[in-house]
Amino acid sequence: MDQERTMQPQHTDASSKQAHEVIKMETDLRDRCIRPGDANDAAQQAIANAEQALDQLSVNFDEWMATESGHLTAANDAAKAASFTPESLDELFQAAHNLKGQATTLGYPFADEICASLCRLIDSLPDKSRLPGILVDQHVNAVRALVSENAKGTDNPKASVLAKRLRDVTNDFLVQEKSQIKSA
Amino acid sequence: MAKIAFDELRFVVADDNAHMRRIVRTLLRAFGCREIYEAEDGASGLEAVEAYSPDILITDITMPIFDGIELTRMIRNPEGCRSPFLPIIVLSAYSEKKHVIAARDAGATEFLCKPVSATALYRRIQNVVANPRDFIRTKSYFGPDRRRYINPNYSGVERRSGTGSENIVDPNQVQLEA
Repeated sequence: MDQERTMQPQHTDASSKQAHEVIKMETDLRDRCIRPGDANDAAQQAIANAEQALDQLSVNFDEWMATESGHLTAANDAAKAASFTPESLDELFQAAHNLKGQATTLGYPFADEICASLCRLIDSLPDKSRLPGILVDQHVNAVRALVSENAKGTDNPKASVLAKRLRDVTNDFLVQEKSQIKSA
Repeated sequence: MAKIAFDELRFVVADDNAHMRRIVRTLLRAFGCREIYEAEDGASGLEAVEAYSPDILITDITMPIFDGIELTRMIRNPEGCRSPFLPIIVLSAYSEKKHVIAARDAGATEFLCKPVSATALYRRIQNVVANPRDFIRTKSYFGPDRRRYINPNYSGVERRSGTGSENIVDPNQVQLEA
């Protein structure tokens, strides 16, 4: 696309009562990237190809998941050693958040749930100095256990119970902490 | 819906996680894309945009140096960037409303939550290509029109002026003097 040309507005209403300008594209991707043919068939074929490619890539997923779980463990160890300083907590949050974004794609949806719970624990706790290290450990160890036990997919009762229990305990703890702040 | 010629599209994928970049690259290649450039932080994302003039940028939010929201803001600066109209798809595990709004207000074209799926990514790209929105410039915003549809019954403050001082009146609510 010719970016220089697209910067030229075709029409503006900047002079009107409203102080905004509407810029209509002179050229856009439709000119170059739309083809005749059945769009539904093309979409279905492209999506099927992509799912097949992802399936072929999935031979790497267990190794990648182990690597990411290792990063989470290392970040937790570093945060504990630093007595949960803001910087170390941020690193821990990022490691959990990274895993949250990938775990389902890598085949571990319950690890995704557990990391979401850990992110919420860190992010929503009003007083970070009251972060319960034991509860953090339980989240991190649960993810490690899921990976070592190869607990993939959604059909895994033990992983399901573990994720739900951690989420419930985290929710209860956060409610308790927030009510203490309110009453103080 | 429109049939997309993916082999005509050039992408930059900015994500600090190498596994996620590989996943997105795999999906794009399977769609038919041939030109995909990767960046592992906000700064190299901006460099890649300047160097390769992509048709679409896919960016994570959390990245070193500067994040995906800052990257979007930098690109949507017509004085500072060569590609202020570049379609930007934000791909993030931040699914909370405040992050979606932050991305939208920075000028993102589309928002896609992780975990990414082939279907969701395809639909976002299809929307970017087939349904481009006009751009809006106000004192405080430059980017694609944030109003995806016009509500004819809207009555309230006209916020586009950036001052909140103008009002839109629902024509159905106007009462004419006798």
